[in-house]
Amino acid sequence: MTRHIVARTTEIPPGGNKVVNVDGRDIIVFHVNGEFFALLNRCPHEGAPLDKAACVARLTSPEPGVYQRSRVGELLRCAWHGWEFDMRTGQSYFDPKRVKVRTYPVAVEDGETLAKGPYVAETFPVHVEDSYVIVET
Amino acid sequence: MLSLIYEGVFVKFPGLKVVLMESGVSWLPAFMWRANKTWRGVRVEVPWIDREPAAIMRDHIRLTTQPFDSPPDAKGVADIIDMIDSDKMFLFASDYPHWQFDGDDAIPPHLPANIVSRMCADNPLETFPRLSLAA
Amino acid sequence: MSDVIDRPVPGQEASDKSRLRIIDCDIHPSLHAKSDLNPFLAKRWQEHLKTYGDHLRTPYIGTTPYPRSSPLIARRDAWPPTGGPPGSDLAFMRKQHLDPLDIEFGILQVLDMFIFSQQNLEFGAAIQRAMNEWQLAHWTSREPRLKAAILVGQDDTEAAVAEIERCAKIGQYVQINVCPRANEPLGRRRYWPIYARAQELDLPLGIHVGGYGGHAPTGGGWPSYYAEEHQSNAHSVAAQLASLVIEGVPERFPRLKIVFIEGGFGWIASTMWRMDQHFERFRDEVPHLKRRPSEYVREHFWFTTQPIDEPDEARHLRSLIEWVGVDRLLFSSDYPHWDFDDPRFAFKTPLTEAERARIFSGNARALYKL
Repeated sequence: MTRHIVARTTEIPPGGNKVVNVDGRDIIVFHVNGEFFALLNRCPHEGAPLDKAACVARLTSPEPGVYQRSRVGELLRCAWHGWEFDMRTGQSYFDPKRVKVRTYPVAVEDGETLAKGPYVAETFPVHVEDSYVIVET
Repeated sequence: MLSLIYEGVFVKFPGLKVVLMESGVSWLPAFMWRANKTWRGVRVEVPWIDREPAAIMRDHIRLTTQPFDSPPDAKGVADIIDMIDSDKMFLFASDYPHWQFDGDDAIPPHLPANIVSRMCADNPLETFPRLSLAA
Repeated sequence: MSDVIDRPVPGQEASDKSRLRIIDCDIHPSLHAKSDLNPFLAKRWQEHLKTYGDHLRTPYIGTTPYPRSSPLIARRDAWPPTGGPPGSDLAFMRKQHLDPLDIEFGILQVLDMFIFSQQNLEFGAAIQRAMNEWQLAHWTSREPRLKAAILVGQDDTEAAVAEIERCAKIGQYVQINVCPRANEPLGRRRYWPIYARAQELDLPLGIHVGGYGGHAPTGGGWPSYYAEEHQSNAHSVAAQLASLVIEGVPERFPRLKIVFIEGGFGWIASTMWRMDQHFERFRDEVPHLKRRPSEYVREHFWFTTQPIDEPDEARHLRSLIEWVGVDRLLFSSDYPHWDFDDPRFAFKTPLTEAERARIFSGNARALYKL
């Protein structure tokens, strides 16, 4: 596992995302309610990039007319066909066992800690006063 | 059928079965796939449908087998049955005395043996709980 | 077991540029605003558009009766960065769609303004002419890869034929478009003058799903949800196929070519089998039919592939293709709509090189003479 610094935390506002190329793969990092999630930037259906995916709640219902929302912002609806994925696990809503987006572990660390290494930071100068998003591949 | 499913009738009445009669059979696979495909993307409009529409059809919908609207060959019929992926959905029917049924045999040609045996007795008995075979 | 859904999307490097040229038979350009039509409208109709606007058989102004699951029915990444709705910016369409997918030709299918469903027939005629001119001025004259279709509101047959004549003289259109949800089923004789001209001009007749003819979109009545209405597109074109064949349109117009657009193709086989079986029993009701219905389908009809069927087993998609016939299929993307098919990944079943070539460009090239 290699740890990559991909962004300063302040670069990705809540509800936003950033696409980075890591190890030849496009990885998308989302910021939801103070947490960061990293997924492969490609929907398993027809390869759509996920950066324009809608960030939505988990919507369930016991019967018509009743709507239950939870985990607001933690699900993605793919920008193309609307398939829903859980950002935490990458699992699709409709077939969580067999249809997923690949996810990557994410950590947030401050510049001071990072300055001690080890990390891969090809293009990132690290400032001790900032916090950084780390993705492990 | 889509209306029954998406309005949540089978959510509200989980024991209900609906029998489609004389509607043909060979249209069903493409119908199932299209419903699944649409639902995967549009699920948020009908969130009380928490599993694929085709799975709901397999549990709640039954079809009578006249007319079948068969493909012209045995392989085609086998493909249709394979695509539907359920041996429980078919109910034998003669459609007597109407003249729309296919061919001269009441049982459509080329059906696999396991389907024929289930459709003639097991499936109707499971669908119509007040029926029982004569002793 | 699902080998269709589980099949991994090929790596970008492997399929980035398709080796095949692709002819995309369904691209939707959009107006920025209705006022874009003003240069093509007489003052009277500009005023009418501004004050009275559309008169459709639907309840809402400015939106569809069934809310689509995505704004303006579009992919969320298709909104041009310079502003305007998806499909309104040619530069962005080139950048996002035509260039990266190596699209050799794209056939425009205009849905804006619901031309086919305008109840004020004179207004509808003015709008259809304006939209036909707009296609040339804004799209095909600037981008040689894009091809226009003559839009005609078929319920005013006289005006439709006049518009076909006008556009035919200009000569830059590859198709004549009517709508599958009209006042009557498309096989009915009142529409035959349009088909006669299409045959004489050797222009295919295009039927793109949608529209609001005033009838419920399903045989069971008005559905409640878009999930139902979206699927009913396939049912409506199945009904129109039956109408056209059984009323005798291909028999009466033996050189007419008819294309169903955005209906997909999964429903065709069972419709053909059913029509053939009925023909066995009921042929003396329809003595004008000299051949089996499926024979007419195999010679006179083409079907665009989007939305492609997604069975759990890839081999079932293969069966569907074989039942319809590779020669009947025309690749389409439906860009920029949300249920768009990406030509690199939509066909999750193996095709031979020859089959690929026919479906992705060869069939369309021959049909539209490109």
